[in-house]
Amino acid sequence: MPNASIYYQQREPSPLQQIWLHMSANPFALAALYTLALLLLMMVCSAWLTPFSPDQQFADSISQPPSWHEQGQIRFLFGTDDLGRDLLSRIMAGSVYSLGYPLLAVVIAALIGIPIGAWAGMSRGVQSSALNHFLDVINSIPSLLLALLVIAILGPALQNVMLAIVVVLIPQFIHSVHSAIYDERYQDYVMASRLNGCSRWYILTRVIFPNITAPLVMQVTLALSTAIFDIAALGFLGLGVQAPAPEWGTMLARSLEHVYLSPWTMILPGFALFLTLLSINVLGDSIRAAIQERVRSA
Amino acid sequence: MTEPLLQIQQVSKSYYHKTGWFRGRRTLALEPISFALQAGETLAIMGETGSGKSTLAKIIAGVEVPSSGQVLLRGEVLEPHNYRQRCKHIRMIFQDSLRSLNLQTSIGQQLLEPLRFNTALDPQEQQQKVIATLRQVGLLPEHFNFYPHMLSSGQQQRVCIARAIILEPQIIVADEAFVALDPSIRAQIINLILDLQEDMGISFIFISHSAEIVKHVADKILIMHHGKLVEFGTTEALLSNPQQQLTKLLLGVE
Repeated sequence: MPNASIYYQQREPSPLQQIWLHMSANPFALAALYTLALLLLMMVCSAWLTPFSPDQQFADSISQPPSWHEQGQIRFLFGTDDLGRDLLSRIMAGSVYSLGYPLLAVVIAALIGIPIGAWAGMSRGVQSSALNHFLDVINSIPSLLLALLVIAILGPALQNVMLAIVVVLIPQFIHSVHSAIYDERYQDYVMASRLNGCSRWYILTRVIFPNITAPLVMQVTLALSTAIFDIAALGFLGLGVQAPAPEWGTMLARSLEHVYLSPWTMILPGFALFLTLLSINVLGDSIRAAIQERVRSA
Repeated sequence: MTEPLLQIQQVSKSYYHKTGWFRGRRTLALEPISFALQAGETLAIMGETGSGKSTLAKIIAGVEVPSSGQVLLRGEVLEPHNYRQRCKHIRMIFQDSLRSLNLQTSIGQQLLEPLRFNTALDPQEQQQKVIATLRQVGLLPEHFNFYPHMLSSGQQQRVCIARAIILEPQIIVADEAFVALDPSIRAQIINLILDLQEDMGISFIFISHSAEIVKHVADKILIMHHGKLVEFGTTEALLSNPQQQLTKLLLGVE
């Protein structure tokens, strides 16, 4: 049907709708979004969705191949490991450790890091540069190494891993928010708002913050993939989540011993890890691109 | 003679460049300068690049803090960091209109900003005031929900003018606000400003390179060179009897 109203009649889509429109034009972004949504749903509902308990051992079907293999059984969709535990249940339950805990760590780090970064970005002089250089020192140490250091002091346990990762992520958040705000605060539009007599709080939250969403999204993406990777790596090294818990990194470490006999015990958790990291990175990058695209396209 | 609207008293500005850990070099961008402006007058500041004219405009608008001296409005000292005191009387139009608008906020929200912080109007009245101001500068109420990148450069400049006049100030400072516009739009914007000046009795301080605009618009002209005031007088006086060579060059007088 032809649109009779030609001029200024259609409602302008809101910024969020525009970002969604830009993002939904990209098939990779949508695929990543749906994959991540499925993974999150699986994580939240893993307690009810898993066919078996992740620790339940089936003595009659040890090292059962996946169901699509000719010796596989449909009862164990992804097969079983060397102790006869259902791999599908373990991967689903493991998403709580490998996706849920990193998410929690990123949320905590963001809640602490963003306000400090904002404060650092709005302050000036010695206060700002001292904080900045101190953070540069922390940022120069690789995150996994710093996490290892924390573990070495506190001992391997899940809560220590969480603490280590939060401690590692906070400086990264502070640094990215600080530099993003620093880049924006001398722009003309901030000066214009200052000349409008706006309060500092208003300038920070309503004027500057909407303009730093792109670097913020990128930082969250980076932090989330770092956290997932670090938890898996520490689990793999035996320093993180301890053995019977179905964490993906720990499962990978255990599967090393019989990778020739039952390769699926390595491939499937590894694939889950790969899929999670890939979808997070693709999604984060597409959101950032969509935010920038919104302003650029007239 | 009545008290002048704006008085600039011995205002100077120097910048400090750090060259080492403790050493630094001080450059004087603006040497102590004094002049006065009457209500309703239009002042044009002219000069070469780097002559300190932009610094002077920024100090008057409150963007920059003077190193010494003070700015008086009707005998009242304007404090450098008190933006609320200043913005009710002096407003600024920036050189680059798109960069002075927040790209992530709608035009309406940006025009509500000064009202929210400086007036006692309720939200309904603020909304009406913004729409009235949009009409005043030749935009439509529909532009309330637009974002800056959806407008043309002339419309963006009109939004900046709307932001400058919405608090009904006594002085508007424009820092080369017409440079980026093409001639026909520039003429429109200048006529718009002249109309607003007539309606609202605003004094207008503007920086321009164009002798034609200055002759057309200005009541007084201030010529600057290397941070110093070279010549200051009414447009007729400077056009008919320029004292300095630079004045002749800038105004194109034989």
